[in-house]
Amino acid sequence: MIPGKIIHFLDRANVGHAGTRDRKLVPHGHRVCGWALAPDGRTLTVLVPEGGREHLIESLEDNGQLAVTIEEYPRHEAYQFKGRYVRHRQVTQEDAEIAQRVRENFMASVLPIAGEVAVHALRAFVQSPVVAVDVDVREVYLQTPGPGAGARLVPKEA
Amino acid sequence: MTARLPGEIRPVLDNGIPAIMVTCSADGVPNTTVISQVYYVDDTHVALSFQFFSKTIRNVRENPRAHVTVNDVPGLTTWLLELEFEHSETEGPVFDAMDMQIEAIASMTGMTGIFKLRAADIYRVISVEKQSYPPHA
Repeated sequence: MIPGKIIHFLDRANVGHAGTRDRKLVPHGHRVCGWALAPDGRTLTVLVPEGGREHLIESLEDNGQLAVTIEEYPRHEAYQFKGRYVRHRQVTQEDAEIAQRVRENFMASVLPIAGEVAVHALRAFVQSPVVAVDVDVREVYLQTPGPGAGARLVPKEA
Repeated sequence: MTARLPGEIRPVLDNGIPAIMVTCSADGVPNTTVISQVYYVDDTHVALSFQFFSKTIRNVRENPRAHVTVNDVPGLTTWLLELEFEHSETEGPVFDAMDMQIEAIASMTGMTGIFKLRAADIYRVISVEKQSYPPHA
């Protein structure tokens, strides 16, 4: 379902952030430190660190709505994935390795700009995951800044 | 309820690191987007740039609540702001200052000609939370 171009993008992207909302329609933001697409091409596992947990599971269990934007910084290529909560679980060693890959992507992209003096801060920025959330992706939107931002890519707009 | 922004957040708002905004439509679908600028208006208000007609802009006009995450990467700190949209300005000192900042950000990030300020959206701060995170082991 998710096109190959975006699957490849997910391999090299380095920043993520999720959004939920509670029953009063109040939005909540959640840091994301990793992601992985299942072989079915539509189940996205989103890894969340301790700092992103507040309101997360209670909002998902209340209404199931989740959006996650994943970006390749500093190129600004970004996509937003919207879908429905499927389940959550504790993280595994494999999840920690996924977050480590994102951390390495982030370091490789940003260190040349920020300089060696920032190495510890950049490494800490991508935190270790504490919870993994599976999302059934229903829609994908282009989020790269520009006039085309917001266009729905999956399913294609008529 | 209105919260006051502490003085220590001001340099973080000016650090040039993109922020993340979450909104929600009237029918309950959240939306996340990267924003290039969170402008300090006064100690209870910030302004966010309205550059494109987007889902975010539609959402806050249907449902005024928003959540913004601002990152202080060197300080190992994240700031979480709960906001409520109040009104939009297309001229005046806030608009002019944001317009100048947007042009500078566009120039620094290779987005000249793409970033263009249409309006400065003014939000009231409902809550502000500082989250520190540990160094990576």
